[in-house]
Amino acid sequence: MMELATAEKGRYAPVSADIPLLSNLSVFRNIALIRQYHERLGREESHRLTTEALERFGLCGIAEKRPYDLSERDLFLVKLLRAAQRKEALIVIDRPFVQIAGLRSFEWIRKHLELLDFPGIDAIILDYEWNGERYGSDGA
Amino acid sequence: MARDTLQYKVGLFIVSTVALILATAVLVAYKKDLFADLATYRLLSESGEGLSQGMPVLFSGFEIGKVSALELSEKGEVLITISVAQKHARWVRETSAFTLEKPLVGSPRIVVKTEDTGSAELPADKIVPIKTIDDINEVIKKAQPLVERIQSVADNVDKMTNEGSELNKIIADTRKITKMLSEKKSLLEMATGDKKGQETLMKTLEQVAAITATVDTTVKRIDSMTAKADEGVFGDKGSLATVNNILLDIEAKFKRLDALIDNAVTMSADLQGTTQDINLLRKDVDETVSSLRQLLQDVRNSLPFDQKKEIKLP
Amino acid sequence: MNAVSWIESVGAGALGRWRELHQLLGFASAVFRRLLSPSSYRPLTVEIAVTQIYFTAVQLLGFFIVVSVVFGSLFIGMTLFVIKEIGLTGYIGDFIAGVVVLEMAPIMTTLLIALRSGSAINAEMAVMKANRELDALEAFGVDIANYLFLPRIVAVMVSVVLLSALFAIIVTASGLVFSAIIFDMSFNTYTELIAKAIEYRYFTIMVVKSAAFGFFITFIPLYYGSRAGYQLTAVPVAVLRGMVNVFIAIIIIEVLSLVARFL
Repeated sequence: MMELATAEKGRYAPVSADIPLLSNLSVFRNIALIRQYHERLGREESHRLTTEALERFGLCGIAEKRPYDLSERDLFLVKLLRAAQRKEALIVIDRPFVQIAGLRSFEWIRKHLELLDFPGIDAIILDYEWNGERYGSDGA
Repeated sequence: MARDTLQYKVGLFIVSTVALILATAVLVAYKKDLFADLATYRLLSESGEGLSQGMPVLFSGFEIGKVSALELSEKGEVLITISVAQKHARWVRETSAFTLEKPLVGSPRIVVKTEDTGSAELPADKIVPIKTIDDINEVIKKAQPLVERIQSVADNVDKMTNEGSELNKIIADTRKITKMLSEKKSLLEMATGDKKGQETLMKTLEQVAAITATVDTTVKRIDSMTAKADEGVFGDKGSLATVNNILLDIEAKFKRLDALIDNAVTMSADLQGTTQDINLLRKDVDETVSSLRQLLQDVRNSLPFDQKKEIKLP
Repeated sequence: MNAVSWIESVGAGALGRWRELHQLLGFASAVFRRLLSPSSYRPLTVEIAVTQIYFTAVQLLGFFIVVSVVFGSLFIGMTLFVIKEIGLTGYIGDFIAGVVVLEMAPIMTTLLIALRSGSAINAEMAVMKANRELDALEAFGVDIANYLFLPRIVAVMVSVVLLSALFAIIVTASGLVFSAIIFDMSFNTYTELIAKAIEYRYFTIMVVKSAAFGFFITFIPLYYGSRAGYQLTAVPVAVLRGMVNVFIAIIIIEVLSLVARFL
């Protein structure tokens, strides 16, 4: 993971239990922050894009919640949305089954990844070998 | 939206505070006559010492203008240009006297005095000479002779009261006599026939009385000197009251005051010390005189100085 | 412990302190350069700065005005009595302009903001560090000096400058009331005295001094907070170190400004 972070510094977008959301910002602002910073977006533009991203996952209802008020699944999805905000993001999902303890298969994550059809986006999942069967026929 | 409220509040805070600051700045500028029309006058001083650009020009204690320029004339004198707000120009007349004051406390200033405010206005091209008053030097000049006088009085009193002085000898003699008198035997001897001893005693007592008178006079003189010194030095209008004011301000002004002030401060300290010494001396002399009087009174009470009076033997 | 090792430990301690100070000042100058560079400013920076001004100045405003009126009136009332006693009535203006505007207003405001916002910022940073939120920002390529330091520093600088000016204005106004009571002085005479004593450079001195206070009472808590350990127990230590150093910085700036003023 560290190697990836160094090699793909400009695209690296981790979704990991070790990379938390900012606890003093709302879900909305956590997601908006990345583009506001890197693309120097103004308030209106950032608001529009963030709302659009939240709508993809149907998360508008939790937009003003703080990270500590979220369920494991919502927290994961918000982290995923945040990662997707980087330009040509290389989303690195670190041990998803550690992040969502009750998740049985990778299907739920795949479904959401497919919704992120931003240009140039890539995703890598890092996990233990013994979790291979949870990823279904195509593996990870 | 909550954020809009927040932004509105911050905006309101910034705008109103900045407006308040600007209003204050404008008020200050207005009161400093920044927007007022200025009249300029020219003054002449032999030396530029104590003069600086921006120095205030006062009339009856109120600032009416500032020194706007200083330049050297062809003769090497200093040409001072002062700017006075047009509304104050009526105080600057042809008969006005200009003085550069260097007060003990505060910064130097130019003071305008106009006896006849009805006289003609001072023409802008007329060059008026300026007088200088240096408070520090004045105080030093006034204090110097006073210090010398107090010093000489102190020396005299010192001489009078030191060991081996006439006064001390007399006091010692008187003590001896009183001791003798207090013994019944000696009293009897003296009273019954030893005329010589009695005469000696009378003489001594007369001497004591004379000296007491002298001491009294001296004490009165010292008293009056001290009072004068007190008045001159410690009094409301005295030098020390003024000097005390310097001391209050001395911390702030210390670096800026020149060597003259250092002298003034040293002198003030000497002055205070000497005056305290005088007070102590006066107290000593007072006590001596008082004990002498007591002694005389005791002797008079114990002895029949009237020679006609007979002493009955037991 | 023998003498040599004792001297060694003293030397090591001194060198450690020096290195720490060197690092702090180095980082401070880097942040200051960003402060002056227009490219450091994003719409996001302004948004965070506005929020910070709200927490630092607007939320404090009511309490601040009460403190200014009560403390300022008491202070000015007592001092005017003393001025009258020692017969320096002519120097009321110099006293109010020199002491209240230039010295008391910035330091009182700074102390109040340092105690309230400085400590909060310090704790916020230390908690972010312990929660690995600073690592998260770094992972997403967000520079913490630009995103966290810059807007907060700008906000506190603006707040200290504005509140100092407000304090000076409020206290000077309460001086008007006391001058009327103690010296029977009219509004015109009082404002004239104050205005004559205020020099134009006082405005610059006050702004520069308040801005310097604002910079350091924010930068130091941010710096020490962001350098805290990953354990939650490191939070109080970071706050303690930060706030002690803020106090030292306030004293140093005050001394430097006095030296600069009287040189």
